[in-house]
Amino acid sequence: MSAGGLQFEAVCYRFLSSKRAVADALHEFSADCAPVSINCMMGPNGAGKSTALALAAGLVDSASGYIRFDDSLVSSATPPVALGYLPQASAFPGALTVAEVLDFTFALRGTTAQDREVVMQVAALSEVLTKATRTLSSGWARRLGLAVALAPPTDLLLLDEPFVGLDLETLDRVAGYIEERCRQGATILLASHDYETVDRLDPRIMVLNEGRLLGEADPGGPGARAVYRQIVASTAGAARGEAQAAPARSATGDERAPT
Amino acid sequence: MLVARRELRIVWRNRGVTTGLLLVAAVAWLPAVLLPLRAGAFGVASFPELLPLTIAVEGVILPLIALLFGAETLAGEVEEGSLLAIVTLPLSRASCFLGKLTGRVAALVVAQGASFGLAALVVGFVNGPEGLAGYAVVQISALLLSSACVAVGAAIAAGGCGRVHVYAVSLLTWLVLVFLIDAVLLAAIVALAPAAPTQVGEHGHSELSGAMPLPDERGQGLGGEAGIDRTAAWLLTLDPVDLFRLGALSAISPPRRVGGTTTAPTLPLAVGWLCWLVLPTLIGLRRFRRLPLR
Repeated sequence: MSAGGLQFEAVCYRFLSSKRAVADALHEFSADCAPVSINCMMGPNGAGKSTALALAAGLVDSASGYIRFDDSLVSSATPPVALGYLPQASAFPGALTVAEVLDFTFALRGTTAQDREVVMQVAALSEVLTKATRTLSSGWARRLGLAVALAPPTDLLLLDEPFVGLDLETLDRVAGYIEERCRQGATILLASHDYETVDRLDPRIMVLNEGRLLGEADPGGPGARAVYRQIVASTAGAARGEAQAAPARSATGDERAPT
Repeated sequence: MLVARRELRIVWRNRGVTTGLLLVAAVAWLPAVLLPLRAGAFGVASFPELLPLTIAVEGVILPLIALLFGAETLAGEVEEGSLLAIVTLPLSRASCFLGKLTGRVAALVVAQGASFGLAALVVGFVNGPEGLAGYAVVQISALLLSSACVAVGAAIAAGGCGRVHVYAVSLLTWLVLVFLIDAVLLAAIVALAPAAPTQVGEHGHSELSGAMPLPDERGQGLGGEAGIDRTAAWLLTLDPVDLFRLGALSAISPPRRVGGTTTAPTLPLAVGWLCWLVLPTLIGLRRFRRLPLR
């Protein structure tokens, strides 16, 4: 059916918000990220972006629907093997030093010495290597999280707000490296509110709201902010149209769909 | 091994954990130092004097330390969110769980081995080596007890609840293992033994064995003294603390022979420890595989 890449097929995910009540974080969510491409999810808080990333990483299982990466089903039992994941909040065991966290990651991934060097330059962590992670500021912790997520070799990069908390220089280097990783063959899905940096990456844009995909735009469009506004406006317009049509149908008792 | 090494680093640098391991050292040293004080003298007790108190203290304190130590295997990292940095690496959840558990067990084994080993050295140097073999077997049983309790603690934490919840369940488990099951098993063993007062004193050693039906000629079957010993031994496998006591006591008292068969409960001990080490690990693995992590 597909030729690789990352696919969400009618995925539903529910939070158990209390003992009985459930809240839909994703509802019949379908999206297609082409292989070796950069894709960006945008939407208001609570739209389901982080949930979609967690599902794609195999951290949680969907209530229904399927997620596939390179034609293999993704679940908590079968997560993507060559995965780089940046959670919304990067956390590491406070007792370990930055160097120990990086060495552990590089060793498990099988990162080459050359790639280690590149990642270290991108995240610029050399001055905190001997520090315990519990002593890091949120910005440094974010850089460490990025270094762990971006360390090659990975085929799929899932990045939740990768540009938050970074200074301008680091932000430039990280955006450049994300493009580089795509050129090297990685499929990238990120969630971000940083329109300017997203524009630089020129990704395929997906707009989500209330757990649903509102619309998509291919790369080369008028810019992330404009695309986002267009999709939100057109969806709101369609919703208004439906709302106006519904009383009419109700008033006349006519069951035909409005034209 | 990488995960186990990482876990060892976390353990040695954690103040709470270090305190727990110091408690292990206290368990090793306090009986040896306190027993002579009871007689108004300073020094260290000899192995034969030391063993009963050591068994009693270890049977209560070690399960508590090991359960909480095992619970911290996952509880802390789940709550802080740092587990995400491991499970999204090319590593199965099973390897992650087993690696962390191995690191924890290794840390406790090293701490326990060092504390009790040093205590044994001092006691042996001051009072001579008499009873050293029994002491060694008791400590091996204690290591098995600690390892089993670490696995139980990790299995509790693999449910993914917060620290407070996991520690509360671990404490409850400790109460059940150390006190409740012990009482229930004693009641069960007494209930299994119908009154047969004429046999009391004839077969002798066990308080409970006198209440059992008459033994057959070879002392086999549930109806004999060996039978009640066997039944009791198998019942005791239901509780790791009783298993520890059974192993420790059978190591320090000479094995009895009834009707030509030895009553040393080797098989129940082997099966019991195997189950208490493997089952909690498998349950923990199963729970951890299904644990939603966000």
